[in-house]
Amino acid sequence: MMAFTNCLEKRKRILFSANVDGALSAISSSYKATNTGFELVLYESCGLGNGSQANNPLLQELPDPITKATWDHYVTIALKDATELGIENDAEGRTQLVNLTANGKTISVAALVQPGQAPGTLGVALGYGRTKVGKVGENIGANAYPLVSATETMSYRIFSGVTLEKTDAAFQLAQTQIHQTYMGRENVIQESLLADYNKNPEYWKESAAKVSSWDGKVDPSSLSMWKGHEYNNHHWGMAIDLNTCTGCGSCVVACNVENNVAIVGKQEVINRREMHWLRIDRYYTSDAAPENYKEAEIASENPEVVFQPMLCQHCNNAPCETVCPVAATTHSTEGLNQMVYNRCIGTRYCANNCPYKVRRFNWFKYHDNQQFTQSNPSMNTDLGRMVLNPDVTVRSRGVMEKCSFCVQRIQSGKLTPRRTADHYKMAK
Amino acid sequence: MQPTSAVREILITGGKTVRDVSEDISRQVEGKPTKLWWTAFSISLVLLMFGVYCLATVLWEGIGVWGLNKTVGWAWDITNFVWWVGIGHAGTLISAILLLFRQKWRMSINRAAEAMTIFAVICAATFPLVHMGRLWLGMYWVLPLPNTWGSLWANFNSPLLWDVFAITTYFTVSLVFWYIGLIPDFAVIRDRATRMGNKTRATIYNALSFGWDGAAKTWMRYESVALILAGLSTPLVLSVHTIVSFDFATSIVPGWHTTIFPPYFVAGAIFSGFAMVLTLLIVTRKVFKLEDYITIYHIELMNIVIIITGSIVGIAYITEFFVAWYGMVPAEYYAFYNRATGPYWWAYWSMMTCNVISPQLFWFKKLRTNIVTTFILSIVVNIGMWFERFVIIVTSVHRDYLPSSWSMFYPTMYDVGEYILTFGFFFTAFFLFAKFFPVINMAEVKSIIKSTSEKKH
Repeated sequence: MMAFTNCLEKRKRILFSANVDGALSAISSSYKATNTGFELVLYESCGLGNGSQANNPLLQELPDPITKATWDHYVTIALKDATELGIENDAEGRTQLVNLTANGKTISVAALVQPGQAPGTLGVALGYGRTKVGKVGENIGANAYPLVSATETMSYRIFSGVTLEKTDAAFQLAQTQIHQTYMGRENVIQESLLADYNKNPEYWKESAAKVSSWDGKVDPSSLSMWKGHEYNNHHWGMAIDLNTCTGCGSCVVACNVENNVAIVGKQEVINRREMHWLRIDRYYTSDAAPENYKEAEIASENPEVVFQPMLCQHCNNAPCETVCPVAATTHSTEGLNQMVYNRCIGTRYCANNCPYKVRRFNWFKYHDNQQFTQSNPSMNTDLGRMVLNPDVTVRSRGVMEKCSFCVQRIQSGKLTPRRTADHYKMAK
Repeated sequence: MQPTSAVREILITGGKTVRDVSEDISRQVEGKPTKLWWTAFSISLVLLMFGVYCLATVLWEGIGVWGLNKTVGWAWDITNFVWWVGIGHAGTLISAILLLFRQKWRMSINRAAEAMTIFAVICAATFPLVHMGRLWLGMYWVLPLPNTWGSLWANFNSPLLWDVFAITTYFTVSLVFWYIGLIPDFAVIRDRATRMGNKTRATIYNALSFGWDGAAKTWMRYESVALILAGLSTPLVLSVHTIVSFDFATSIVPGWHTTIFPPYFVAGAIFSGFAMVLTLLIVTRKVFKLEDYITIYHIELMNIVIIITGSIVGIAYITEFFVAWYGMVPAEYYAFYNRATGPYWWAYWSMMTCNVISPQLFWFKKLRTNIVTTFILSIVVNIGMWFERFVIIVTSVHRDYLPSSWSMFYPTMYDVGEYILTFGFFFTAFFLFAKFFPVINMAEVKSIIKSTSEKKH
C-alpha cells in the first residue's frame, strides 16, 4: 500500500505542483515547427506508476481512470491518426498491435483510440514489460524505458523520429467499461454550472421527470407501492462529493483490500466479470443529440469527461430484495441492504433487477483455486491468504456479493464505544 | 356408440374397426424396433451424453463456463427454460381444454402431445435448477419447508418462488393425467400379450395398468377422473406461463416490465407447443404408418391454432412497441429501439420473420394441408419462439439503465451444450415412449371410429 500512496503522491505532484515553466522550456527547446511524425509522451500510469509495483494484482486490475483498461499496456492514439493508419477499436476492446519506434528502439504494444487525445500525439505508460517481477506482473506489455531520450537530459517527451506502424496481429484489451457515453441520459448525469446552481439550487428537480397520478403530474419519489421502513436508530448512507472526484480509483483499491474482493485476471475482465464492489464510471460527452441513439454512442473527438463513483445504493425499497426466492438479500433495521452469502443460492435475479448493476457474482471459485493463482495470489496461496481481512467472509463459488457499506466497520464503530469506559460514563 | 355429427369430417380414415385400432397401435409396442428407430435413438443418446458432459463441467467448474457476465445474468439458461415450458403447453391444451370443449379431433394426438409436455417440462426444469450458483442448496431452500432457522423462509414476493409452485404443480398434474389415460391402453397390450403367450410382457403391462379389469364401473371411474384432471389442468394452461412471464413482468428491467406479458406468453406458449406437436407427429405418423389416425384434417386444425396464436403474438410484439413509444419512458423507449436496431437486431428480426410472417402462410389452404410445408414451418416457428425468449431476456438486460455497464453476451460451448442436453433427453425419452407406450390413445380413438360408413371392401 505504501507504494500505491507514493504513486498517488506523485500523481498529485504532476497535477498540482509541476514545474510548468520547466516543462514549457523543455518543450520549446526541442519542438521545431519542421518536426514530422508523432510526438510521444511517456507517462506513469495511475495504477502502476513507474512499475515498481507491477506485481501487485490490485493495481493491475485497477481500471485506468480514463481508458478503463486493466492488465494491459497500450499506446493511446487520436481517432484521426488511428483512422489514417487503419487502426480500429471495437466495443469489446479488440484492437491491433502496433510497432512503435522512438530513439531507434521499437516496442510492440496494442493501440487504444483515445477520445480527446490531440492528433499527432501518442501516449505510452512506463512501468510495463517487466521480466523479473513475480508471477502476477511478468511480461505484461512492453518496457517503454528504452524509448526515453537521454541525449542531453532525461526527457519523457519525444518529438522526433517517432514512427508507428500497424501490424495485423490482433489484441484484445480488458476494459471494465465498454460503453463510452452516457447516451445523454439526464437521470444518469445530473450536473449544472455553478452560476446556474447558485441562482436556483433546485434546478435539477425541475428538469426531473414527473409521473402522472390521479392528482396530476407528481414527483416520482412521492408515489410508492411499498410501505417503507421504520428507522428507529441509525439509517446509514454514504455521501460522495462528485465535484471533487477525480476518478483516480484509490477507493476501488481500498474497497478491494478491505472487503477481500477477488481479483479475477485479464480473461475474466474481458468476460465482463470483474468483481469490484465499487467502480468509477467514466462517461464521455457526445456531439450527437440524445435522441440520436446511434450517434450518441460515439464519444466526441474532444469530449468532456465526467466521473461517477458507483456502488450499492442501499435502496430503501430495493428491487433486488423482492426478487430473491430465498430472501438472501434483505433490508436491515438500519437501512443497509445486506447480502447474506450463506443463504444465497445464486439465481442472479437480484443482479438482473439492479438498476445500478453493482452486484457481482462468483462465477468460479476465485479463492483456493489454482486457475486463479497467477492473477490473485493473495487468495490462492497460503502466504497470500494471510493478508485477507479476517473481518470479512471470503465468498464461495455461486453466490452473489456486493457493497456492504463496510458493515464490519459500522459494527466495530458501534461496538467499540460500548466496550470502553467512556460509554458507561456517557450512559450515566 | 358415440353420436357423430354429419357435418364433422371423419376423423379416423381407412374404415378402421375396433380390432384394427388395437392392432395398428399395439404393433409398434410389440414388434422389434426398426433400424430407423435404433439410428434415431442412438443419435439422441449421443446428444444426451454430450450434454451430460457439459452439465458435469458446469457443476464442477461453476456457472462461469457459460458466457454470462455482470450485466447479463440470464441468457441461454432462462431462454431455454421458457422455451421448453412453452412447448409443454400444447399437450395440456390438447388434452384438457379441447376435452372440455369436446373437440374429438384431439383424441388421435393427445397421447403424444401429453408425453411431449412431460418431457418438455423435465427439460425446462433442468435450467432453473442448473442455472443456480449453488444448486445443491437451492433445490430445497426454495421450498417452504419447516426448518430451524427461525424466521428464515422462502420469499413469497419472488416470482422465482411462484415458478417453483407453478412448474411442480404443472408437472405433477400433467404426469398423473397422462398416466391415467395410459392405463386402459396398457391393459390392451397386456391382454394381447396374454393371448400371444408372452408372459413377461403381460406381467409388465399388467403392473403398468394397475390390473385394469375393464369393468363398466372401472370405466366410469376412469371417465370421472379424466374429467376432473382435465378441469384441474385447464387453469394450469393459462397460469403456468403467466407465472413464468411474471419473472420478467414484475421486474424493473426496461423491456421486461410489461403488463402485456401474461397473455402474450400464454399465446406464444401454445403457438410453439402446437408447432412442436406437429414436428413430432408428422414424423411419428410416417414412421409408424399412422396416416389414418393422424390425418391431414388433424394437421390442418393444428395449423389453424398456429395462425391464431401466431397472430396474437404478432399483435403483442407491435403493441409492446406502441406502448414503448406512447409511454415515453426513456429507458423503455431505448430498450425497444435497441431491440430492433441494436447489436442484437438479427435476433429480433429472426423472431419477427419466424413468428409473425411465417404462420400467416397458413391462411392458404394449400399450404396448411401440405405435410412438407407444415413440417418446415413448424420448425421455423420454434426457432422464432426461441429467439423471442432470447430477445426478451438478453436484449433487455444487456443495455438497461446505466450505460457504463452495458455489455454483450456471447454463448460458449457449455451454453450450447446445456441446450443440446435437453434435446438429447427430449428425443431419447420420446423415442422410448414411442417404442414402449401406445402413441395413440386407443380407448378414445375407438369411441370415434365410424366402422360402417367407410368400410373398405
